[in-house]
Amino acid sequence: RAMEKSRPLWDNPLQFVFACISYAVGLGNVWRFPYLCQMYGGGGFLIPYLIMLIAEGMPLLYLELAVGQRMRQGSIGAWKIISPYLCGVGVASVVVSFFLSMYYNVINAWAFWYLFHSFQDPLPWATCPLNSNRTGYEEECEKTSSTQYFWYRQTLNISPALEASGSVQWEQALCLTLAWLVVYLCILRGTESTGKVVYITASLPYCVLIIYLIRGLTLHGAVNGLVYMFTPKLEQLLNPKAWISAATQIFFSLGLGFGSLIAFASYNEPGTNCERHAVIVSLINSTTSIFASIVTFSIYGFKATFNYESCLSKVILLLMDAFDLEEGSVTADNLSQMKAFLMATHPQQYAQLAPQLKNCSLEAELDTAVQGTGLAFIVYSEAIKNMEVPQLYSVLYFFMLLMLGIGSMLGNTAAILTPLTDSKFISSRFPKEVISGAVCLINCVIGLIFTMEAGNYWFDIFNDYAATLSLLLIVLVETIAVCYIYGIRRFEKDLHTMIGHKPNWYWKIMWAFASPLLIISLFIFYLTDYILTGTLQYQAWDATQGQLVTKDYPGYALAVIGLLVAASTMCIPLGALVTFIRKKGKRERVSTV
Amino acid sequence: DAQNAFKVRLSLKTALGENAYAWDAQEEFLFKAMVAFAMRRYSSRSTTQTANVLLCNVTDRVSFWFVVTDPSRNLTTVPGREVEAAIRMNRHRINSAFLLSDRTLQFLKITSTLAPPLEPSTPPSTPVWLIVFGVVLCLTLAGIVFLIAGGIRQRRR
Repeated sequence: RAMEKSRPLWDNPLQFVFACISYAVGLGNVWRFPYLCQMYGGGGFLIPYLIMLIAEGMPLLYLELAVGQRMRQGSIGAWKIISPYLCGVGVASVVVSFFLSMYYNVINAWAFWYLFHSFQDPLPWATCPLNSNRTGYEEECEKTSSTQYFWYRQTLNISPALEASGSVQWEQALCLTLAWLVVYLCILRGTESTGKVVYITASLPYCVLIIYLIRGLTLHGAVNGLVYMFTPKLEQLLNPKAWISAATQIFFSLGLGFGSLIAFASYNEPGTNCERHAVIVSLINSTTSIFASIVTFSIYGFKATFNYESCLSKVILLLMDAFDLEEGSVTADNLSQMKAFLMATHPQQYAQLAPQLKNCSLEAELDTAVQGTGLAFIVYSEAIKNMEVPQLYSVLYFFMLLMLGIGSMLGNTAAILTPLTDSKFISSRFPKEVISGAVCLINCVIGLIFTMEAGNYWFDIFNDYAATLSLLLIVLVETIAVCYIYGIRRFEKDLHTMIGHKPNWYWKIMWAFASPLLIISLFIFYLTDYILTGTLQYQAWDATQGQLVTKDYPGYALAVIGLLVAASTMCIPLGALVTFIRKKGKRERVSTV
Repeated sequence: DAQNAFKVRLSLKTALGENAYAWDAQEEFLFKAMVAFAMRRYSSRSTTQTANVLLCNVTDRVSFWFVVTDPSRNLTTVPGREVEAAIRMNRHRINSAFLLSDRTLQFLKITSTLAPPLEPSTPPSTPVWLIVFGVVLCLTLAGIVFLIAGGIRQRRR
């Protein structure tokens, strides 16, 4: 058929695999998985993680790839073929992808910002700037650390609350524009250009991770972090939150439900073995998460040890100066004995000094678990500034973040563009380049919201609420649609024609029962969690104290959250309703004729 | 005479590690000489002798107190402000004599002026990051124009 012949294809199956890896392996592997590992029992967390991977990740990934490859259409077209009432599912996927691409590229803008600032000696976040009359350091920077100051003040220029919107930061706006131009460059020609770019975006992060692994493991104190992470705290396995987090992480890490995987698979040759690819991609994704957390925890260990040793030397110096002891008489080993001795011999003086003597604890340093932008931009940059040749490691690291982010953006934009280019209405009027350009331009302009002073708060709103509930619902409907509406027997036969053998009983049980049940329980859990917590709150940066404080969302922010969730979830029933009305209208016209 | 006396603290092992010298009477003599030198340089008291610099309370740390007496009038100490100004003016010479720095040879009441900001005091006309940004931007735009032009040419063919 003419339309089939003109559909662009991947040059070879390797490009497809790389595209999926590039999309699935994203920032979440680097900044969310290590946090979860630390929170839910270290090495023990791997047990629920791997179980969820096999029960939920692989089957759902296989399902999406198979649907895309069979229907050879983007998400809207594919679900229309399965059942005309399900066109709403495709539209919901596109809407969620649209929301995601709006805010996700801001992360790339931040990565660009840090990357460009890495070409200086010393690194700008290594020291506090002096205040205006050069008598001391900038006040806000004194209260917190120089890396946090650089992130909150010089990068974001964050306002104290969501209500104080402030103005657009031109530096961030420039970086965001550049980020969108780079994305446009990669998606401009469709699979032709995307296919070549994913070779780089998929493989380069691994090179950097290996370099960081070697560097991280050779850092002083890295072992402390690794031991801390991997000692399994098996009692956490009894905590239901651990299992739920494992399921959620697998689900979102693979990027199910956005329509990107369907879009990528639709450019496959019909005979591609998507079963093998699904297993490979999900295994590589999980292995990368574990690999990245080894790197992250060596870095954690290094940073914690460094801070601990600085704290110790400060205390030692204080004691030596106050009691005029010989240098070298107080060391880390005899600190507690010396303290006891001094307390006994000079009680008054010691009591005066006592409030300044902090109790340095390595455990406390390691316990500061961080996730998200805090981990990527604050903790890592703090560790980097203490390494030798920090500029090199900084450039490598932020370049890796950029590759991970752009790889995921390619998938997101593919999810939006594929249905647009599939629709004959749009693609006959405008060439591919114009459609891609329009999408990038609209997203860039809307994205300027996130470059305002309160932009990071809006970013958090989008990050936490734009995709979570909607995706669960979308994937649930997808699974039920394929198994029960399309029919699992029909699906089996399609797979047989495509890859040459029927899926075995394991896949069928997972698709028909286990995965839908898992998703339903996740969905119920999140709904009850939102309802029980009452008002939603967020972390705002207080410049006067130099730390984060919790605040309530104002009314209009809650309305936006509601809109975000509703905009995508309502598409599903609305789509069914519209199709129903259209069909009824057609039937009535036919019957009157 | 607390207001005219200054406490000095040296951190020899921190600064010099293995090469740290022991603090003995000869080093004290050098210190007295440096302070006398500073006083001579600063004010018109060109007759200040090492005997006019009095050290006391030397501890293991190594730290001690010192005062400077007026050579012309016995048993009066030079005002603290003068001593402070003199030492400030010649701080670098004093530090170098002992192979130490402002941090390891501390005069407890005399604060050192903070190091100038690490960026040059007159910022460059374009900050470094803008230059790198410009380079990447031009490369990206060139790539986009190239690809679009290629696409238009392909379609015309």
